[in-house]
Amino acid sequence: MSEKRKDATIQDKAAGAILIALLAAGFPPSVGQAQSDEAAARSLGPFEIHGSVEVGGIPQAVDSSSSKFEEYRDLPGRWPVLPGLEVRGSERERGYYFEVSAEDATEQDGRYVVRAGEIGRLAIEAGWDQIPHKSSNSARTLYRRRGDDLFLDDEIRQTVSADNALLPTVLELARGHGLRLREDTGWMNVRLTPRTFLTFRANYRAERQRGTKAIGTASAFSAGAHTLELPAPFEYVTHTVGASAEYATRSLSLRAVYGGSVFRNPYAALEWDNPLALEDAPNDFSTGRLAREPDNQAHEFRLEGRAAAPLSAVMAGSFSYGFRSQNDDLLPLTSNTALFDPPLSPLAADKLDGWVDIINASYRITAEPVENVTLAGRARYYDFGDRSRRLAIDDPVIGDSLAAGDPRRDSRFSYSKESLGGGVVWRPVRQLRGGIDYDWVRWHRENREIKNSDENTVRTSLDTEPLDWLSLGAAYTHAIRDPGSYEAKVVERSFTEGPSIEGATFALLRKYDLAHRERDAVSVSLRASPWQRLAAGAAFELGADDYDRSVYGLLDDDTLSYSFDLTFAPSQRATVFANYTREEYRYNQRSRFRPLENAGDVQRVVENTANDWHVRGHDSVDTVGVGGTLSVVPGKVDADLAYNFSFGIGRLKGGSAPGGDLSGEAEDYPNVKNRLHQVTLTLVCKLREDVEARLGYAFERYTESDFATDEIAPSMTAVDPGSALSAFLGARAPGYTAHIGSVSLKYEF
Amino acid sequence: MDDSQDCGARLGRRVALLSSFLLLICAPLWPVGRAAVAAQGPEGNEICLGCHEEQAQVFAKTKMGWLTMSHPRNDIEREGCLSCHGDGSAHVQAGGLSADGLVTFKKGAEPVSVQNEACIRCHHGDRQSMWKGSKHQTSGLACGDCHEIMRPLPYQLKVARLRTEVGRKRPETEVCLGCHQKQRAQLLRSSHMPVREGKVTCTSCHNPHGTLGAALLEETTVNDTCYRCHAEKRGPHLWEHAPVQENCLTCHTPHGSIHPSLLVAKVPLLCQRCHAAAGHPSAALPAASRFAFNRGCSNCHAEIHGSNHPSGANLLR
Repeated sequence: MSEKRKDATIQDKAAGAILIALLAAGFPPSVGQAQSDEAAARSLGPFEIHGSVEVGGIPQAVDSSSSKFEEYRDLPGRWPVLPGLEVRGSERERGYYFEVSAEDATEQDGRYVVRAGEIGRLAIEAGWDQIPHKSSNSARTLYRRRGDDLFLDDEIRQTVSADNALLPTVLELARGHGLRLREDTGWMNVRLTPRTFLTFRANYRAERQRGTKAIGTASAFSAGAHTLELPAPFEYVTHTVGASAEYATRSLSLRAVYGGSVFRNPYAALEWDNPLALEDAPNDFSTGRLAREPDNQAHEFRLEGRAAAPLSAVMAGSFSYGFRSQNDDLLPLTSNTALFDPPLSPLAADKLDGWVDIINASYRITAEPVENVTLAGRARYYDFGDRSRRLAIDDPVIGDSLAAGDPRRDSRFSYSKESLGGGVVWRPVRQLRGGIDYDWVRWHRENREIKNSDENTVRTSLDTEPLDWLSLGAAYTHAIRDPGSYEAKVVERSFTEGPSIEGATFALLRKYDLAHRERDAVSVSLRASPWQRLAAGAAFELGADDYDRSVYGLLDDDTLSYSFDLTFAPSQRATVFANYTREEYRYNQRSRFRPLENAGDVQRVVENTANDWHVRGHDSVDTVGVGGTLSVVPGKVDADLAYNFSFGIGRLKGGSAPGGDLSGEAEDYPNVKNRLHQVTLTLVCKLREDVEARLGYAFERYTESDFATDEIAPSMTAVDPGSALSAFLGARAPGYTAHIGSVSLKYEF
Repeated sequence: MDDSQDCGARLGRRVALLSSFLLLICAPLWPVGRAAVAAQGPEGNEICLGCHEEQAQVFAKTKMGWLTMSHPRNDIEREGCLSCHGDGSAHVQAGGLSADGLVTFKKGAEPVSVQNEACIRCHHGDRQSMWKGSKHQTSGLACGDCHEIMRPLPYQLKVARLRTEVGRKRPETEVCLGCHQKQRAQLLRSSHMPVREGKVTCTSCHNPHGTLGAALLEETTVNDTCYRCHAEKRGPHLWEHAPVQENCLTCHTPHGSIHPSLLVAKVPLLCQRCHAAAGHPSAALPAASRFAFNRGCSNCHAEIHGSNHPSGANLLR
């Protein structure tokens, strides 16, 4: 019996038992009846007990086995289920209390919380939460799992390695292998307030993510890279602890905080059989090996506080020091023994001794020196100092297949960021508020194309409430990021003897996170509530980022969004609402195909402007929501109906300079489209003061069209003949149509 | 016992051990100040209860009501109803017909700063300690815009429109989305965090009461916020991907995307914004090629967030 099935059976029995107990008892007397007889009041020792239990079922019809349907949820399509259970106990004399609650206790996405304490003094919370995450139900693979590693059946391996061309045929034998994980989180928080001005907190959280995910790998570089996509098992465990002590009064607060996080991954490496080679060879490997995410930890010590000052000022500041460390054993250079002759130079160290120091200091002051004028100032310093060992690798190997020939040394990307800003808000009359803000940010970076960059931002805003029921706001932001000189070839510093291909780096390209940028943004918003039963709003935002000194790379990207929302209550019994949002994202980017040609014993890059290409991207998403609530029979029957629709399109139009190589001709990509329709209807009928029946219906239809995955299959030879020696998982998350019902009885006590 | 049970048991033991440890640490502090608690109701309350008994009965069921109505810990709480509503003598003298001198919490009845000051008298520490000067404070939000104060849980957060997703309710998220319409739309996109499923909430990442960092984030930086759940990407690695260490938002958009993995744009073009080294990274890659379909560049460059393999300079291993 599978683990999931076993869990489900136990949970079914629990839910079933509760349901039967409730039905057999014919429900205890209602609260109303109980109140008439004090002797019947529920109590447990000194605690007065209240709570609720909900038991029901979720019948459903789904037309597909798409993982998208249960991407982050578990809808088991059976009953009984236990959507909610809650027990609260309170002792009114001393203020002791406890709460026990469970949501979806019969499902894989259950959540369980226990709280206890003494009001105003002690609060303890412990909980357990489960999140399933299904990536794909359609993945297929030839691999089987052996411990941490993946292997192929001998027969398959011998057949394919003897004749690589048989791989597409053999891939038809691939078996189903779901890509999914479950995240389990347990936590415990304690808050103690021995005095109203003194609070101690302690918390611990353990999170485990366990499952299978797709990992892409490459092999056989001398014959052109092939892709092998693998169903890699993984298990990430993160322990987080924290503690703080705070002294807080209205005029002063001081807090000392410690936070620590320890990440553990039992899988140090992933090894897999190469179907294309039975034996190691200088240009291919029999077993590949990849390093998994290393164990690491992070700790932070922080002091923060707030103090009142003259002129109605409040100062707030924070200083923290933290560090990250990572010291996992490094794997050997390659698993390919054929590359050991002549022997590869040994690593200078067997661990990275990874260490990052992080210092952060933040300060903010807000003051009202005169009535209706608010001044604000802020400053921040953040330093990310990567002190990890710089390790020279004399004989790196590409994809376990090919000696790279270029000795490398890792680059450490330390950086620091300083910012200073301030602003003033003036409210000449109650109905009008205007403000202006200025911020300056300077980055210092090591081993990146830009050493120092400055960004200056000015923001102005105007908010007005011309009428009690109407408010309007507008803001404009202008920012210029000036990176100074751009050293495109800085990446080549990691080549200890210089790269073997001169000019491999494209000197004219500007990386968009560093490049010179001029940013403009406008936002306008409106809220109106002309009478109590109507509330409406509208918002408009326009953003334009212009990388005005970039000739290649991202040249500009613009965002546009506008939204409207309306809520109207035609009577006390009914509410209707509607909202619409349109978002657009447009961008232009340009590049150049730069082929290599042999020039004697060396390779060199061919630069030709005829190989320039560009792409214009345009993503748009329309989202609509309408619905309402209705008290069908006041106090007895309530209904809630909602419809949501989201429609996204991603468009990519390519263009090229005339002439040039085929690989320099950008083509239009097929549009990416995804649509979600979601209808939910809930009916709540109060059968008795303490019993309600809940009926729900949801309709969901999700459709997707994405060239990246529409035709994905273990063998992609039919789509790309160049991938004849590649193997994929064929993982898709296609559309679905689902009708989901819910029937439940909720009993409150 | 299989791996999963073993690991589950280990995890359970650790939670139990640490819980016991925390309880032991806290135990000595338990009795501190306990004798100071006096089970007494503020006298002024009785005048209010003469007319407002119905509200008081509901309020008394809340933790705040228990403290201010009958078990005050300090002078402010001893003021009872007046601790929030201020001086009610004029209101009483007018037989309840005038609200002069009273602080009320209806929208527009008092300046927002006056309403909020009533809350800040007590709620000035913990998650609220950085309220003054925060985005929501300077935008003129009142505490009552989000919180329903005088009703017991689970009604303490206002739900403008309670939407159910077959039995699931997301009251906290709904409160935020009441104003943040763009995020409401983004959460419906194909690639999203489990917010609409109710497994992640806005406060998983943000503190709406104010922080010293950007975007009301709980952590100092965007990356530290992401590492809360994605610690495997934290490193440091032998081979780093520089922008990854600086800001996850260079490539990802957290509230929802029409592209997989919450990416801001389609791969391989997203990668090609920065990478045009000689050979395939510089080529205009057709959609029907293994460089573009499926996982794009990470079909091979799987360790895109950093590699700890000595031969992982190209993030292949």
